[in-house]
Amino acid sequence: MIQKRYKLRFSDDNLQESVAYILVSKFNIQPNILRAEVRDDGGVMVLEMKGTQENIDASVVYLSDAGISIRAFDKQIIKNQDACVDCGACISVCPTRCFTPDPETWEIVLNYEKCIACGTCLNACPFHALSLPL
Amino acid sequence: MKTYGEINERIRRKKAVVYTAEEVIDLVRSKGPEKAAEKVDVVTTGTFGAMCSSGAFLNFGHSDPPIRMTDIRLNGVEAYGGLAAVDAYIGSTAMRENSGEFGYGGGHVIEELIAGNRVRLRAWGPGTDCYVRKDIDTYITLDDLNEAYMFNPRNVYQNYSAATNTLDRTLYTYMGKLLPRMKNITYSTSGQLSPLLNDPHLETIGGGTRIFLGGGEGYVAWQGTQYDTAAPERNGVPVNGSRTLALMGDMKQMDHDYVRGMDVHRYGTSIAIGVGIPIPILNADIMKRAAVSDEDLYTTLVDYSVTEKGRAALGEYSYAELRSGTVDYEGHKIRTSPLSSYRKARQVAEKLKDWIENGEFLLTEPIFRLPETGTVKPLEVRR
Repeated sequence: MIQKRYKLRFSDDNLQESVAYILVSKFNIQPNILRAEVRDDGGVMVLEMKGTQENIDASVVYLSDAGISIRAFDKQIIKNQDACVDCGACISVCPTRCFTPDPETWEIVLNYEKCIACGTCLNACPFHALSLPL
Repeated sequence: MKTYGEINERIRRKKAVVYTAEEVIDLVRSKGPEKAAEKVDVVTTGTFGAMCSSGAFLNFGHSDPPIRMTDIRLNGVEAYGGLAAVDAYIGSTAMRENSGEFGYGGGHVIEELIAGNRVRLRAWGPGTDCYVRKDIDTYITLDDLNEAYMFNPRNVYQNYSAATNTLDRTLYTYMGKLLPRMKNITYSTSGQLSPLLNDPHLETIGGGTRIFLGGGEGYVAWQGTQYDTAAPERNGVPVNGSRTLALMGDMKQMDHDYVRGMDVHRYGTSIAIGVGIPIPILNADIMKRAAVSDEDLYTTLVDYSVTEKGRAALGEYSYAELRSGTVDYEGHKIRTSPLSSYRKARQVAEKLKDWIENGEFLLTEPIFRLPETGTVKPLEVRR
């Protein structure tokens, strides 16, 4: 079993597809929808899939064939290293505890595996070092 | 017992023994303060965090024809021009109007100047017989300015209360983003590295003390505003905001690594500055106090959802507990965030240590002692 994260874009034609149901029933995938929103230019979904490599690959092909744009999304939050001063304001606001200080250097390390792209940290950073391009 | 003169002589000969306030902890634990005081000449401290009461005096030089600037904008941020014709003061929290989603303010202007960037200067004046020009629109850099020096009325707060929020909605404060129902705690200090926590009664730090300010040399100019000596103490160190320093230093020596503009969401703009103060180890008592560790330094937890006057203390926590990432409050684990950078604080203390070890930075005996007593009075609203 592996776990992968993708960003999906929907157009007006496929906005109402029940992605999660198809992934479960057809490909035995455990989907976790981290974020979903409908915007003026279509829909955006951040989706985590848990399953075998084979099934995840097949799901990606299926969704792509259904006209949904899908691409890997493993570094959701972008951290500008020049702007970051390693203060730690982000640490306690993150619901999944992505930010941890290195006990030796006190550099604040971002663990992308845990990030669910919620964006809670963005306005906690006084140095504008964090962004979430969706 | 050592004197300033003896220590400076050793610095000049590059023989001074310098420890950071963090490194010296273990030394004093193993050798004891007497032995350690014989060995160590200087302990360097450091901090890097928000210091809102900061700003800079700038002199732009005279244009031809000249202008007496009364209304001044630097990258759209207002600078105070109620001084002589081309002198101004830009404060860290002055904010550009309509700066949009990302606030831009005086702290950012100061950072950009130090980084060597071009800054747009627009100014207006009344137009007088001696200053005929009424407006000017140009670009300046730090090099163009005749003088540019920071003068910060209140820096390096000696300790500061930690913040939490008991309301059921998020609060955006100068102590950062405080999640509802005490879901997090923020604190702002470098603890065992912090300048005024290592010399709690200012035995060695006073008027005229030479310091590290923003990457260059600076000085203690005066006691800081809201200087307070009445705070309760634990292990001989205040447990909430108490003494403060007014600092000044030449911006032309500064490095933008140690001076950063801040945009604190829904509070406004500010500035983060790296400050380091050397502590001469004149005797074992001073040594003992400079070796204080996060386990022995405490701060008070207060609720930022009530106004300052009504803020009851919710508890006292050591910086070791706060720095561990979670603290216990009535059986609940609450997560913590530092707001000042420990990595940068360490970098400041290390840099100052380098300067002293290389014989580039001599210590100064204070010209005057800062007040032994000071209290903060409230502002009464009178009709």
